[in-house]
Amino acid sequence: MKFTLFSAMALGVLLAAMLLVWEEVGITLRGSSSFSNALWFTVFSLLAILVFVVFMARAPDND
Amino acid sequence: MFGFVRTLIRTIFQTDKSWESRVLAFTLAWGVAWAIVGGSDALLVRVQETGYSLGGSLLETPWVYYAGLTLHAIRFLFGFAQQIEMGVFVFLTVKLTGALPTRRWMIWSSLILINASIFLLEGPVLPNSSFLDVYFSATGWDSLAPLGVNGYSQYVVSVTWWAGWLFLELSTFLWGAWVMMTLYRNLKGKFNYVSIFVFLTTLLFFVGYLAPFVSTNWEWLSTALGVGLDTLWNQTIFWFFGHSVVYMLFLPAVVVLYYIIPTLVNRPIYSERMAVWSAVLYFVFSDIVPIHHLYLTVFPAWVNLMQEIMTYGVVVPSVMTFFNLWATVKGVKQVTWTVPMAFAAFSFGGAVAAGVTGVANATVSVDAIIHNTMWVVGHFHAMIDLMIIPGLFALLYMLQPVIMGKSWFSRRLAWWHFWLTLVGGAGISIFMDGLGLDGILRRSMTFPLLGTVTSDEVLLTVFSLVFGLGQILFILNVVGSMYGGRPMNFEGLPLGKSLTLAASTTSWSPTGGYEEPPPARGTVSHSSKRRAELTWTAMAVGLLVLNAALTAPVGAASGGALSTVPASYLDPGGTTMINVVAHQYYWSFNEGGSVTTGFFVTSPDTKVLLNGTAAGGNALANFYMPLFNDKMLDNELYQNYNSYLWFTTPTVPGVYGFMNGEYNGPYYTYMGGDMLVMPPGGVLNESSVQEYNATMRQDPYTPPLVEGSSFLLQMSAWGTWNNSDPAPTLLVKNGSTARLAFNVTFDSVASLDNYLFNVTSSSYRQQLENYLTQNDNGLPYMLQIIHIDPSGQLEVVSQQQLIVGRSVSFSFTAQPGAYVYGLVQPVYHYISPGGVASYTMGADSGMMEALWGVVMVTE
Repeated sequence: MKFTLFSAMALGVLLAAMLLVWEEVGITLRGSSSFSNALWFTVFSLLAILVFVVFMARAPDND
Repeated sequence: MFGFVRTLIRTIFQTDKSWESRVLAFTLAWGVAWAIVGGSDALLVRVQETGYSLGGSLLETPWVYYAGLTLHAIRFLFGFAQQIEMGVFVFLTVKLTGALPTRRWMIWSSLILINASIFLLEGPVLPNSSFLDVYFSATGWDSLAPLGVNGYSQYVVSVTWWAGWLFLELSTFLWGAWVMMTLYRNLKGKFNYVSIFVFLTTLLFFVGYLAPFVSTNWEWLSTALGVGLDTLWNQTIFWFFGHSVVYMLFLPAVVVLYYIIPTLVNRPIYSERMAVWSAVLYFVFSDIVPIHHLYLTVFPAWVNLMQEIMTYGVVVPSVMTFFNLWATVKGVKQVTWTVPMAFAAFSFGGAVAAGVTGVANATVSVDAIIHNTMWVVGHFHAMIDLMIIPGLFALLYMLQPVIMGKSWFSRRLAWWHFWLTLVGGAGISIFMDGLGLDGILRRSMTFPLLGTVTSDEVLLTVFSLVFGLGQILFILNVVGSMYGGRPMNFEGLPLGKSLTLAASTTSWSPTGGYEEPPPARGTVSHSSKRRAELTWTAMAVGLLVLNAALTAPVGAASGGALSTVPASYLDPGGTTMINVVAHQYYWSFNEGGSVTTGFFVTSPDTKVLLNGTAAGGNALANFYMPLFNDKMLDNELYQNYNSYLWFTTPTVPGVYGFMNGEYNGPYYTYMGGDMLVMPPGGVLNESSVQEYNATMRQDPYTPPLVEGSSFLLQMSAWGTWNNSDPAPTLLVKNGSTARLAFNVTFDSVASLDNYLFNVTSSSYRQQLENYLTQNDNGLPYMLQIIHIDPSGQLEVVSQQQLIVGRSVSFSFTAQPGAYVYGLVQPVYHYISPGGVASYTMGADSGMMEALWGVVMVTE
């Protein structure tokens, strides 16, 4: 399988998602002062990334 | 010799090329020059923070450090990024319209003004001083107005600062008017999505700069003519620029991606309609969200939440853009990697990374945790280092051969540049984020020396050097190309084909070969693409609405407005009411007429309402007490406004540190303080000590704990005891004899980071020596031991003069309650070498209080 520009951009999204998860989960679990503040945002972030990746995989080609 | 100089000028400024190429070459030359100087500023900042992390010592003075920090931002944002974007837009405008450019004086005037502005923003140069370098007087941050405004701030910036802003604003207006006029006149009815993006981004610049045009000139009129200034409204007006300036830098990179990604893969953009809508939405939402930088001020919750939702409005075109660019390359079986392609993919990934963390920052409930910390700095460095700069490099790797008519000197250098920028940029963002997650404030020259903080600081420096090395390789490649590049002929080729040919010279293939991707076959229907676009956009909007709804309850309780305070905290019967005033540079507290400086006393598990404001002459401040296991307290304090912080004190008695979280002058990180939660009966029991020891360690600004009966307190070169501000909390047993020895060396007082001796001459060390000789080595300050009884009453136990070069000792029998030790009163400090300080040159003065700490009594 060739590493195309599409794959590289997908890798970029994956790395961005990992950065986000590290940051948001880190904030959420840091202490009681941040738990309720950041919890929903973390859930939202993970959901958004999952939905968009699945959707892009199913979107029609530019051909 | 003369011939060599002439050739050099022709090579750098491309004086034998077309007008638009000359403009671009001019902006590139000056932009790179500012980037080199701005990079040196970053190095200065990293040296200071790393030196402090590793040895607790400061290698530069506070004003050199803060000027370096400010100028790093100014030179990179405006001198480098904005200037090159201006050049690129002029180049694109001429190429897109195909018209002969007229009114060229507007562009040349604009370019002279922007470069002059960067010189002016540095402030006056004092070459005759033996120790103060060109950074005196330092520069300001208009985002923190009235910082630097004479009459409103004891830290005063030079008038050249305001002149610099005016030049920058006029430069942008001239350039913007030319680009929009040229596009409109020549493209009437023939705009495509790229030209629409260029036009609306330029309009965004034009409208965005109207905000600082009002706010900075208001500040100038105030400082020069005494025109009244409303601190909050002035700042709000400036912050209209605060979001748009990010998009002024971000959108040109988006334009680049919209232009070069379809070019590189030999396909049309997936959806031109979606691109046009993105451009319109970016423009509509980018200039109207100033309050999302000011959530924790005094605006009511509904204003904050409305601004959060409007900021989410900017997310929608970004999500549409990500889809459009990503889908454009879907199904393309391209085979040859080139440097521009790699930078384009890098920029795309960086945009997603910085974009999603931007949504976090825009969410009130999340901002309440990370506001003013290094996390925010990590976010915008992700936007700049991982998105904007790679986007510009993607274009430059294609444009330079076209302009110069020469190939790149070395493919290998180009690829090394890419990898070092990628690794270095990612590391910079990650370790800045890490510092923010530890609760460390931004713009911190001094900070708590905790394990993770020091390692993050050092690694941040390592990755900054990696990033910098990458840029050095780029410059070497540019210079090499000027003299050793292979001649290339782009005559007769359309711009798209020229750029593809230029990109092909940086192929990853070992043979340097390049295979162009085949064009689209037209097998996918427009209707299926349109369904995908609409579904994607609807999903984005739906998810943002869901997030806004779920986070709103916590967000509505954030901020300093009186309306956010729960009714139970407004009951004087059940709540301890404390007024706090932030001075430059110390805190004062008033609880029922009892006034203390630096600290306040409460009881465990008690409701507290802090009513905060900033004193006249102190630009602004921020009460920052990150109690990770209880509540984040983080509100901005303004002159003539009241900001309310409500919380219940920890159940575990002890000392909890707080800090000024907002830059109000070069000594702002010396503005620490303690909340003393008095144990019942004034004596800490063993279990309380253990519990306190276990929980307080997570709070970065709580001073370290030292247990014993005899303590040596050594003055550091930056005017603290044992490198801690406030000084360490000492634990002594009830009824025992406690011994405190204060040791002050000549070198610690003579340090320019120390504030005990005023700087009025460039031979200040000699001045200090003379003073000490005449005064038996004594400084005019009293070291004190003050007892606080369990009910909070204060009594001076003993006091002695501070002596330089000799240890000053105290002994006392520990009684129930607590003690405050050291230099408990604020000390007046000012800097005016040779009497130069003035409102035209700049000035810095204030009352300092960092040489004190607390003694707690245990059973």
